[in-house]
Amino acid sequence: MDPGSIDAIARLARLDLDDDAKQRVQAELDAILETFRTLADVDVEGVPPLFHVGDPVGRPREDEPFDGASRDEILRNAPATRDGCYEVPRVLE
Amino acid sequence: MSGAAYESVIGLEVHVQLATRTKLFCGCLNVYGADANTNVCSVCTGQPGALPVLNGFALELAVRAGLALGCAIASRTKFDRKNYFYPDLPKGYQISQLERPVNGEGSLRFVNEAGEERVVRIARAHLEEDAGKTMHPDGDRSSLVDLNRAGIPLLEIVSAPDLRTPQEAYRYLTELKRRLRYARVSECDMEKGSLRCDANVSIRPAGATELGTRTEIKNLNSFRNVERALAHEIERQTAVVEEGGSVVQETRTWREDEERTETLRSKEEAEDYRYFPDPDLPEFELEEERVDAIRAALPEMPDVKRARYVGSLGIPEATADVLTADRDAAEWFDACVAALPDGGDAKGVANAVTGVVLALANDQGVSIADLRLTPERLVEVVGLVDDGTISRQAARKVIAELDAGDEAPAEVVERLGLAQVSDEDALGATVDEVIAAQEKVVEDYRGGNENALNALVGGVMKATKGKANPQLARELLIRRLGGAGG
Amino acid sequence: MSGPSPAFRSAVALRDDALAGKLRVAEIVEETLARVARTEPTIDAFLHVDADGARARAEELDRRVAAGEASGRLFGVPIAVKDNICTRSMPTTCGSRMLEGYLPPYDAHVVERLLAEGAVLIGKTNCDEFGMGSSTENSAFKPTRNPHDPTRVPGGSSGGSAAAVAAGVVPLALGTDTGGSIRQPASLCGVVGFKPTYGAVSRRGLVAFASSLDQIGPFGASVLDVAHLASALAGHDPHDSTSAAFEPPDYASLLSRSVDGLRLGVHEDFLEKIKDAGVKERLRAAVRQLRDAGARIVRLDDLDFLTRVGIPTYYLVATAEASANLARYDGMRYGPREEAADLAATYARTRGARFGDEVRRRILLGTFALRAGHKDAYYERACKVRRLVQRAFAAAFERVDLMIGGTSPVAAFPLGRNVTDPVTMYRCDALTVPASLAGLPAASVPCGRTAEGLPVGLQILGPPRADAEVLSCASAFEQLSGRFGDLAPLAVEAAAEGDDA
Repeated sequence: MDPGSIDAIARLARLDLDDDAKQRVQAELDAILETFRTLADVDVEGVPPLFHVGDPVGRPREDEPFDGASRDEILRNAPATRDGCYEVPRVLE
Repeated sequence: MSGAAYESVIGLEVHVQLATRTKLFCGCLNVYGADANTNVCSVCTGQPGALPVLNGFALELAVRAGLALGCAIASRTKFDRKNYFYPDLPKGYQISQLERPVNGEGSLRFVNEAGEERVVRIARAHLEEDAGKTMHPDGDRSSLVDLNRAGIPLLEIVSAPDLRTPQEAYRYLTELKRRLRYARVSECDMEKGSLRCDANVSIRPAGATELGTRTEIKNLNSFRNVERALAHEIERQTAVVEEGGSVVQETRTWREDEERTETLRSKEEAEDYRYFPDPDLPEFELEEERVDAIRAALPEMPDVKRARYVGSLGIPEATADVLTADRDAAEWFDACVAALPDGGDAKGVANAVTGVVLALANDQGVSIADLRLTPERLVEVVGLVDDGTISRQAARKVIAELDAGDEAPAEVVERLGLAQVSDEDALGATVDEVIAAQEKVVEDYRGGNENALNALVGGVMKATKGKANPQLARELLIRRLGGAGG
Repeated sequence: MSGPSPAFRSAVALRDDALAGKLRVAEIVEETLARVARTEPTIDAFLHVDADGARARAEELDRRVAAGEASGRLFGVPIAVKDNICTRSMPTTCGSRMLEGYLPPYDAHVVERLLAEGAVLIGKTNCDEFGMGSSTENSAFKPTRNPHDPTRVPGGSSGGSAAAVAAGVVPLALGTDTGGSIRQPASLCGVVGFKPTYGAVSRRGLVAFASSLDQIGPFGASVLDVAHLASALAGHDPHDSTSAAFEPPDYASLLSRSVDGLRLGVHEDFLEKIKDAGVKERLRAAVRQLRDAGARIVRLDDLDFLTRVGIPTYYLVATAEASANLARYDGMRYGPREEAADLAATYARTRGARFGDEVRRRILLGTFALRAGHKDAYYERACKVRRLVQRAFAAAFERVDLMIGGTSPVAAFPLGRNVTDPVTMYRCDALTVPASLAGLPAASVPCGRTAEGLPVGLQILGPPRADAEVLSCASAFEQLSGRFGDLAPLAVEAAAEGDDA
């Protein structure tokens, strides 16, 4: 994995990494990916991917309201609120 | 203008909020205009550990929309996570559908601005959850987020790039909205955000088959603005190409105040959404019997209705257009037709619905379906006009009265004394008085002035305070004065 | 102290005494809190102890006894809950600075069930941050120590829960298992741990690490206790779309004393190929015991596939899911926010500073695996191999009733040894991830100790929904081995001092 990819991935994942961390992580991910090479040898031709190991078909619910939470309960954990809203750094439009 | 040298290629992505009681994946209410963050729960605010459960009615509405658009309905549908960061997206991903949308390909038929029938292909129509709302108080360093809207079910309807002019785009949207409202899938109210539209547009030399580089336009808040923004964007792209430049793939925003589009973000900044199947949601089956049942319950679609009105009821096309613009109006009219006696005056009823009843509903700001006036009563009123009991003028009054109370039409006519004087003897005396009093006019008439007769009819109407049957008054005048010009 | 001391007594005994009014719940709670005070300085199993809440709950339960209205499968039983399970009454941090001080607006489904069965919540236990780790050293707050040897790790990620049971603080605790996070610490701490079939227990309120793998399950000193708690936890929850549509039986009533005629599959990777001689010796002895008791031991030669692909498949699937599951931690709606120049910088700084090394590593790995251009070769391929893993197990379970082998290739290792080497740490999961990938029920039961006195666990796996069969076999083995929990020296010593060892 090249340094460019680490930057791109860190940006996609919204993770600040200083240069030290970046180098360390890159070495670690390289080592991890190296051990993952065994997967490339497995013949998966015609094998459908498995995404769920539980019941394969779900049952939708009725369109009935059920209790939500109060605004206070939801907002009490927020780092900043104003006028019943979450207050966040300015979003540029 | 060198417009003829280029043709534009347009595709529309339309998001409609589905008319469910509750949100797509939780039991919070799907309503508009509540106080900020009062319709929220652990699920739609993305609390740690909260899990989605699919609203079965949202799935049904999606299928209903698909059927109304002639889409192939998936036998199994599944949900994927679309990953991106935004403060109005509580989980850091949106639950959407990539690989197996509820609805596959379909098509929408409409008449374009040139009067030609057009068929535009629908590429897909999939379910996804809405995001919250971000507000930007002016001059403030921070933005405010309200998550009431987060999790409301959306259907994203993606057209193929089959549209060729901004006017066509406008017509497509109008027809799409009409069909979705007929199917009771969505309110499709752009002002309330229950219908939103993004447009993709490119240009190419007329006759070329390859697609040019497209731009996407966002922030379109009315069908007229879609049309306008597209026209401006096509003009801009044409200018770029004609000056030897090339169009850059990017997302642009419509600045209504300045009547232009401007760059929002370039392709390089475009996100990699890293879609993958949502492990919290298994697949969902849409059994054939269930889809058939939804199909059977669909109402007659507007194009079919219109053809029936014009073809078998003999209603003028313009009137049929007005009647079918809205499902409530059409169904109200259908109920009138059902109440009409054999050989009844469907055209007269149609005129009354479009000319009087819709205006009445409009004045009150309600749907025609919510009027107190019933289709049966309207049919009675039209019957009274047809048999000469009341005038068209009086009919308006009767209709308004019927909507205000519980009387029968005949009672209203009686109470307000609106019955026309259709008795020849009674009217004859008045006609004689008018002839005697207006010698000059009578002379004009005899001298060949046709308009003078109208003045005399007016005189009779005035003398009877509008109660005379104008048709009969005219006949009696002609009979007494002899033909025009004597 | 009046009556028998609650410490080291089984949950079932405590419950029966509490229901009968022989032991007040208040006494159980006081004894438990005293035990917490005595062990925590050494073990550090808890992130939060709710003494006031537990006392209030005890009063309420004692009133019910007085009113003749007491009932519940877990009545009066003190239970510790892993800190990645949401509790209204206590903070839920997942061992992360990202959720410091977070107080959930709701109780997890399992917490509702515990309360409905009369349990007393004692506190929240330490874990690797968001369940990511195999030693509990990845907790942002502190490491937990193994009660058998406090210089060693308790395993992870549910190390706090395993240690709390092993130290005799609580008879039962909740853990979560994504790739072995219940079984491996159970093995390293000498207690019984059970991961139910995927979907048997609702995940609502379990803070997701990898949604298609995560399961909540019990820790206890005995299989009987674990079976009681497992039954109380299991059952359909309409608010979890992946919750199975079956009603599980009462596991405790189905526990067997016999393995006679049971076909038990063994693969060399889970036994003979284990490098640690002490661990291997205990496992061999366990297999002999089972064979001597009438079980038919069947060699499964064609399953080396499972251990070869298990780790990469698991880590690709788990990290891909985690990269999305952990996207919600952005400092906007909950958790602390690291202020920065603008929105994008605030996201990156908050996430960069508040997530620990291992979490960041896994988010990056998962983001990489899902990235355009890499998704087919990594995430999609892993999901296909996952199908092959499921098929391999299905084929094996046509020949055998259950599979047995080691839970962990190593016994408890010293703190700090593996924490800087992710590849070595990931290998600790080699024997537990295959069952996770296929969603199988799996238990770890103590099967003796190494020469150094460190516990070894025997893993028992079954086909999907064979939870009762797995627990039954575990119970039979427990009878054979004569061990009912293998509590820590600290525990044994304390028990000897008590009235009712």
